[in-house]
Amino acid sequence: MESTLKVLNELESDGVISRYAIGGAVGAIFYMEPFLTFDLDVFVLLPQTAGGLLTLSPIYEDLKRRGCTEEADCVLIEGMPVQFLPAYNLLLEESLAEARETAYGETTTRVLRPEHLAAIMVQTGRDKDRQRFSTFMQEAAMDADYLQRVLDCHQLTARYDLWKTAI
Amino acid sequence: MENRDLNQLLAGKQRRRHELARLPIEEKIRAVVRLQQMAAPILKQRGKTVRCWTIVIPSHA
Repeated sequence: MESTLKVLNELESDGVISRYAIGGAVGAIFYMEPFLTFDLDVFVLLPQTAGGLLTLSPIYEDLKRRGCTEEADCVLIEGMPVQFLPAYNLLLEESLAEARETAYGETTTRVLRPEHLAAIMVQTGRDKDRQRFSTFMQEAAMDADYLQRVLDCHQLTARYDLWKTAI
Repeated sequence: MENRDLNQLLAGKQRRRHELARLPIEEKIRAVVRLQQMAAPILKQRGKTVRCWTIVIPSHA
């Protein structure tokens, strides 16, 4: 995974992506007990093209030049399937902007804050998000005021309260 | 089983989960890979092919 993160850091320093942060299951595992997952979800902010179109193609092309191969929705980077997800709404843009730098081995990476991961679970709202939310809220240390601000700002408080009472 | 025993058992499980949550990330990723290796043959039997990570995991400082 450290080699994978080094490649992600290179993509950022080379300007292929403007900024990245780990989210999804692996992002959650930074704050809670480990559980089964097979992908590394990486949220990215893409450089704007001349026509204003946001596309993942430059990432895929760059990684192909590095010898990485595509597998379904992922790119295999140093033995790890990575799924790139553009920050497609305001919550994800904010999450990416406020992601935390952390170390993995001797490599620095960036991970979404736990409050944003919880809010994204609530916003996405799939069954697996709700299951994960339940354990996540019991195990992850969070800033309650910060979480409330995020939920209020993105109109997620009602669903959050519903999910929280069911834990 | 008495309620008291059951409560102790559940409290123990909860404690263990919080201990796991506090592990260094490198150890957690090591556990994820072990879970993948255990789950892969079962998923294959169900017709789902998955890729276990072939990664080097640093030991934490």
